[in-house]
Amino acid sequence: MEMKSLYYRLLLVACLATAWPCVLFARQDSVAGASRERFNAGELILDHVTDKHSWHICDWGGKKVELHLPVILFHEGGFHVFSSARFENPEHTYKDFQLRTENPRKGKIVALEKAEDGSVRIAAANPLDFSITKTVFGLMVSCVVILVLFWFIVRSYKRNGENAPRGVAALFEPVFLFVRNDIVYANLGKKHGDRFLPYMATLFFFILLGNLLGIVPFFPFGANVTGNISVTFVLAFLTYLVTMRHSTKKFWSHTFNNPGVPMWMKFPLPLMPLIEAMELITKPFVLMIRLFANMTAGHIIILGFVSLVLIFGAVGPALGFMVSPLTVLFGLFADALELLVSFIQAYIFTTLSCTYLADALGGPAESAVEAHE
Amino acid sequence: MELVMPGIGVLFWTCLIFILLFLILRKWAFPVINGMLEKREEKIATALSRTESMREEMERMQVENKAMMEQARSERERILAEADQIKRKIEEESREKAHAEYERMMASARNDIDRERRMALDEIKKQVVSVSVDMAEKILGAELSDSDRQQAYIEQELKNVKL
Repeated sequence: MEMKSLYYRLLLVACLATAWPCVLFARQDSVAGASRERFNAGELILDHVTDKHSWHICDWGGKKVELHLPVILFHEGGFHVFSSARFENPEHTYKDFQLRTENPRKGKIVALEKAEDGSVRIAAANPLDFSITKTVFGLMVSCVVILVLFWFIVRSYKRNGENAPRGVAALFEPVFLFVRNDIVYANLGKKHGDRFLPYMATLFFFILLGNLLGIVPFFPFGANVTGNISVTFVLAFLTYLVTMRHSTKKFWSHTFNNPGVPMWMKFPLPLMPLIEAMELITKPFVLMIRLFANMTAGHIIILGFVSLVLIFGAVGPALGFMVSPLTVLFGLFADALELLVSFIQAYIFTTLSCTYLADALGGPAESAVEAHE
Repeated sequence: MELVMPGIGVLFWTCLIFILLFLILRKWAFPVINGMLEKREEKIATALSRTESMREEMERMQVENKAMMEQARSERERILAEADQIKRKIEEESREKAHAEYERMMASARNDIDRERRMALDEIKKQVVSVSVDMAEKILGAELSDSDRQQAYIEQELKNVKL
């Protein structure tokens, strides 16, 4: 009992100690914010979760420290490449382009044109934005991390030979074996599994690293990579392409003329085929939405807890101080939850990809039999 | 709304980066890792089967050993029993031999004694006869002066004597 109460007291002290800087920031923010504008949690959160053309690292001495990422635009038959620092002017314009800071098209780059009356307005034709945005940069960082990790792992395997793995490989191997045996082989069987293991494993580690590095709150990590709908769209679409590319006759005959369904459900009204055809689209769509929603929601929750102290700090420093332990505790909880969610989402995405692929390859029955052998 | 609108730039870059990552890993990382894993699994499987066969060998040898021990024990018992039998036989034989010797010696002793006694008796008979003759001579001196009658008489008397 004595030990336990001591433990709780220590925990409280630790919370307060970690919360102290938050309170300071909160005060600073509230003082600064009073002169500028009121603190808006929704805006802050959305600002963090959405994609941007520059990476705000921190504030240092009242000045923003940020990484200006390159802007690549394709407009009217030509490429325009320049740094996003060019937009650092009151009008946020460079050449004929403007980085919108308010609606309409907030956060996007638009082309400007002169109207007949001499005023400047947004052109109807939008430039195609191929910029290395925060998400793309985060993606590159996570890929570099993956490649470095695999470089160490491959080197370790080459050095170690068939002996028990050591170092990074020992950490990596259980995860890889889990992916191989419990996700790929379990759904696809050994024969097909070996064929698709590289794709599925790449998918798994890409999502996992994207998720995990998204939780790390400092530069160059913390970009909401796997919580970006474009990224999840690409992953789901690639899985869809792989699935369709390897679909068998059996799969299509089952889709449009399912043998286990009574005739009146297919003719004259093709109810079942319609539902099955819809499933072709909903499967990748669900993959895309699930990963996106889970990761974005996680970021929003963490940011929400962090904002809590800022909101209360804006009302009064004492209130902010009182709320800060709660923020730290909840933030810690949310972070731990995110750690779990990172694994689960990577697992679910890969497993579902495998089951969809197994369906397309001619039903799960065959592969399940193989897996049990 | 912007949150759920896919942008062409991120789509393009994600596609490019992911496919590049996939190609690199497929070409360079997974064959090494999977190859090593499979090799190790094979090694472990063969080691396990070898262990199993060795265990079986051990078991077989143990059974053999046990049988050999059992055989040796029965052999020993057999030898011991045989030795015991031989011992008893020798004992029996020697006892019989001793007995026979004893019997033989006893018989010869008895023979000797018998003969000696008979000889002694004959001697005594002769002595008694001569003594008796002497006495009778003296007693019957007169009566038996005729030596023929005398002889006849002695003969008759001798026949009556029984010892």
